[in-house]
Amino acid sequence: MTWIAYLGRRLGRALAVILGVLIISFCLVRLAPGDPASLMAGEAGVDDAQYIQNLRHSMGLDQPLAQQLWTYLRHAAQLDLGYSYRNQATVWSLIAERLPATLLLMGSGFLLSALIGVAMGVLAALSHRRRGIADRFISHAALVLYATPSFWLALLLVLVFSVLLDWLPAFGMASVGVELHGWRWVLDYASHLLLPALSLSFMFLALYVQLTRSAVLESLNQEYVRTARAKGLKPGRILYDHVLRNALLPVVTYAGLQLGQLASGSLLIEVVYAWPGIGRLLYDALTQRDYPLLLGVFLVISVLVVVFNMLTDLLCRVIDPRIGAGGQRS
Amino acid sequence: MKGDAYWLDGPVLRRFLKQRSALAGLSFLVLLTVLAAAAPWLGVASPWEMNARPLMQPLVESAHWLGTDMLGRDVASGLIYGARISLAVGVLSTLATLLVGFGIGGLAGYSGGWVDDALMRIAEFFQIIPQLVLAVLLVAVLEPSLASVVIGIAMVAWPPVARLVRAEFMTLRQREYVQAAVVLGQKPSAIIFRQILPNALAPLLVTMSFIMGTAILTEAALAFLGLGDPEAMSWGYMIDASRNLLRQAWWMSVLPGLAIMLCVLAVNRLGEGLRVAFELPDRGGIDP
Amino acid sequence: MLQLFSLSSRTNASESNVSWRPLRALASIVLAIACLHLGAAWADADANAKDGGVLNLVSQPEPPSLSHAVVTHVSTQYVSGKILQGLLTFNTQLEPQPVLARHWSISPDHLTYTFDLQEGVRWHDGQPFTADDVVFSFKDFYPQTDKRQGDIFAEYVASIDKTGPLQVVFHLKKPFAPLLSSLGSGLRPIVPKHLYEGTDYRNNPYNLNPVGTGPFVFKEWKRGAYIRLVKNPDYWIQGLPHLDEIVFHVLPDATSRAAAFERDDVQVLRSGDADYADLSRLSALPGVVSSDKGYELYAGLAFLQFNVRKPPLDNVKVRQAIVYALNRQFVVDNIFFGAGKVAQGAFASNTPYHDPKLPQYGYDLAKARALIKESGVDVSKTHIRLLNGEKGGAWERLAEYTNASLQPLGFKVDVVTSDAATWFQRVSNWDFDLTYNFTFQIGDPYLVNSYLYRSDNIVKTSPFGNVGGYVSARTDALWQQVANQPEGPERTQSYSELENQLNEDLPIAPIFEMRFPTLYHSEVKNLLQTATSLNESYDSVYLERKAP
Repeated sequence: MTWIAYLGRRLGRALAVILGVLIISFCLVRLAPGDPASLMAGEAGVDDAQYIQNLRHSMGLDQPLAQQLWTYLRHAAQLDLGYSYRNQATVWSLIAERLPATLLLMGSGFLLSALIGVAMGVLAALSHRRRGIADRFISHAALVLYATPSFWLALLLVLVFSVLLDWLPAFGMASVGVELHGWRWVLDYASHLLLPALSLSFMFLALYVQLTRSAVLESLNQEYVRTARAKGLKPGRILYDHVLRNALLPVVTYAGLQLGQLASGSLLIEVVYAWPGIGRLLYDALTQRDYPLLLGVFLVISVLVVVFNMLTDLLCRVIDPRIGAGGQRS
Repeated sequence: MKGDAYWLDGPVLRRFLKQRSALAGLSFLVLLTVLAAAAPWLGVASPWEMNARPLMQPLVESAHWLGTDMLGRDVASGLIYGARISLAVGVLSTLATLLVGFGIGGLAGYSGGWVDDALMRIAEFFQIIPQLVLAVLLVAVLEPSLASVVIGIAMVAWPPVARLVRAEFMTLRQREYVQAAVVLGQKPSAIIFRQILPNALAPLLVTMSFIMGTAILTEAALAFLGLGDPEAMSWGYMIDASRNLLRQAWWMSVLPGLAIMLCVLAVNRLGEGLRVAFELPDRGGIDP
Repeated sequence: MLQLFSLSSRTNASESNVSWRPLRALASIVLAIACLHLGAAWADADANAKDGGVLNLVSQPEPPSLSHAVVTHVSTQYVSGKILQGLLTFNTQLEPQPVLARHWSISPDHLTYTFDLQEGVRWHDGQPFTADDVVFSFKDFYPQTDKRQGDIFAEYVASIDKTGPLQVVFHLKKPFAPLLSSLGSGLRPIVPKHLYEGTDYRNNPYNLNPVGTGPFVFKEWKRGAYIRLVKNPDYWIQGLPHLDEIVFHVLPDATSRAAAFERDDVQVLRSGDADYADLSRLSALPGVVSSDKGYELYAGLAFLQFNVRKPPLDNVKVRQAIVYALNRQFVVDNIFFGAGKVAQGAFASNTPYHDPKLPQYGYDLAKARALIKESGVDVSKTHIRLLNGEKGGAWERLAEYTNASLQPLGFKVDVVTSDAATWFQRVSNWDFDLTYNFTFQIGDPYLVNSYLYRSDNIVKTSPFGNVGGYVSARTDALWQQVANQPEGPERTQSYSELENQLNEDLPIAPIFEMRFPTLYHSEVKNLLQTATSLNESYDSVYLERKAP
């Protein structure tokens, strides 16, 4: 399949997903008990009769359902995600402000989990061949990590590293009330990012460890590797050139699929660490049942996930063109 | 050839019993279920009862050997009653997921064609979008309760089940004995229940146990975010309530989390044990 | 925090012909002492004052708006009070102090108030502050944005005129003693006419980006993170403010706030900013001062408000049963960690208005059950909504505790937690069954507390009125009586009768008398200076630098 066709197809699917999200949001509002306009006005705006009237008009509640859906989709396309009465600001502006923080967290969380996961997976695989104990230890640790609720683990990290040892800050993205520059500024940000990113990474470590381990074990058994060994190539080169490259593929593939969960995970982590991202925004909006904001965040997170999913698919294709269109997985 | 209820055969059972971790997991779950179900009769106080000095450390008083929380509620009672909710939600949402997944997957596998395509696209959609976020939204919209939590979890967890069922439907449709049954005039429902289901049962059981693990984690997360059943003392709720007092009462957060971890681990090991027993392909023990 | 919501209740005093005679007598006696005291304090402060530095505060919850002219939410007042100013303010003796009105005079017939405004005052955008702004604020702006003010002014104020570029005259239809108290900086700041005239006041973008005359200028609001104010270089008081910047940090977690305070990243914690559980630990830290100042005259009372309009709470025995079922000592000890003591009645126990022989409600479950039985009401028939306006703190735990305490009696309580502003709205609109709240008794209960009980104050404007709908001809008459009686044994007797009646009818269940400790690091000086300390402009606050 040509690149253009592939790209077009992927884009089409991405758009279909986004459309699906919009339709779900639309249905959710009408599914909830009560009047949709009052719902969207939120508990804050519900007493402002004028505001509700305006909302009713802009949502087109007196029109047929299909018409309403069209209006809704049109607004979304123009990035008009509604207005948060409580925060007295448009939903989009609130989200845009916090988006970078979430991206930073998700990015670093993913990087850490990939790095640590792959490293551990390789170690485990190598240890397995040598019948070492590291393999059992790592595999069991991965399993336990998988079973652990991420928010609880995050709290534990806070308890140990912040409350008891006072090595790292417990919350927020940067130190409060101090103006730092250059090196110290970077260090400050890094120290705040470390625990949250680590907590987030723990959620997916297990998977990457297992994947890498299996993939490495498998490729270590392959013909070409044995040939390479026979030819006398150094183990390190073999590892890097053949084994790792093949092992990385499933990781990247899964990474794309895991994005949704990465986003969900960052919601919980942001809540624990008071990280100023859109996950935290969602949580605050929950208490107030600020529906426009809730749905807006859902939409933006989903779009994020879909876009990155598409990017990783393309990346996979670049790495290994043998992958069928759509990045098939088992 | 595999026929009805092959899974009760000797070899399967033997393989299962040989796995210590699976047995450990199973016994833990059975014990927990019995404890949780029999709690009222065993004299375990209501977890909501404020009957002791608050912020009591564990192992200080025998009556409250796991300590108390900031309102004087017994942590041990909280843990046991929390087990009720976790297990109940786990089982119920797993069943609900089975229902939804079976329905959709079956329909897809049976019909084929564009119906199949469309339904699988929908399944993919539900797998791509952030599942916890959708569950959060669903529960928020429907107002938190046991029912809405179960629905929320089922609504996001069904795709793997649907895929599995669909695959079974598709492969088995071609099988000779099914074709024979069709020729013999067996009704579709009979075919489903007598032929397809028993064969799908093995992989289904394994998948279900992994889903149950995820369901328990999701319920805890929802409760932590304040969206749990308000009448239930859930482990997630206990962790949330203890957040401000992390320094003063570490046991309020540590113990419920341990409970969740052990529960999910047990379920996971049980699933893995089943998988090995049924000799199904290895997915690394962790279902994405 | 909710604590200074009730300052808006001071304007309730303006809703009727309050006799200030008792208070005036007291005030004139202490006035001389107060003046001397203040004068000395001010001189001291100026002598040691040092300029510069950034003061870090906590903004909790994040305010919905930054103009406390439009939103009387305490989170807004905390920030906006440093940007916008009113005509006057009140010191800790409740005496009015000049702010934008440098001088005022009241005609002998109390019908004409003349205000002379400060000279050389500019708005932060450079425009001069004039009488036009004052007239606009009170004639056009407030009547539209604050309906109650509109009604009061319609009843008492004949006209508001500009009689000079810096002079405004209020002509009244009839004497209205509380006029001055309704013009306080904390409540009714002056808004810039040139930015608000002709606009939609509530949705004016300057509500989020306020332009005022105060010592600090709004610089930046990064939502979810911080609000920055910088020094006003053209402030109308020479030499002030001392601080370069004030930054309000948005830290939604009590743990975060406590940790930030510990590290001296944040210098001041208002009461309620830190979880009550952390109070003793934080105040014991070296270099931390814990002060109850700024609230001395304000005997805070936390109470459980009943909405007596609907069953089962319309039955007095049911209400009494509820109070018997609450272990109030437990609440003080374990939920508020000792920040107060159990209330002894509707009026503060350390004031002469409280009857020491008032029959007390103890913690008695058996009695509670008996009362419910006596009442004949099936309390499990209706779900009761208990509203809570703060997530994750002592008030939420209190609501939980109440729920757990009432359940064994058969009540079906639904705890509904929302944010502060939503709570404010719901309670104001009587959309609740139970809620906790607190108020201040400023000396004489008539000034504030009466508004919780009087049947002529059943209005839908704030949570600090008679939102429960309690109507009692006897107590209304008694309130009238105490208003008109001079100090003496008769008045004491009337108050005693009043307190006893309220104790029986229990439209409001007093829970405990609160302390309001403010925690701050010792380098912060001049912090708690006036009656509304924390919402004041901070123009004289400074940070003492340690010797290098």
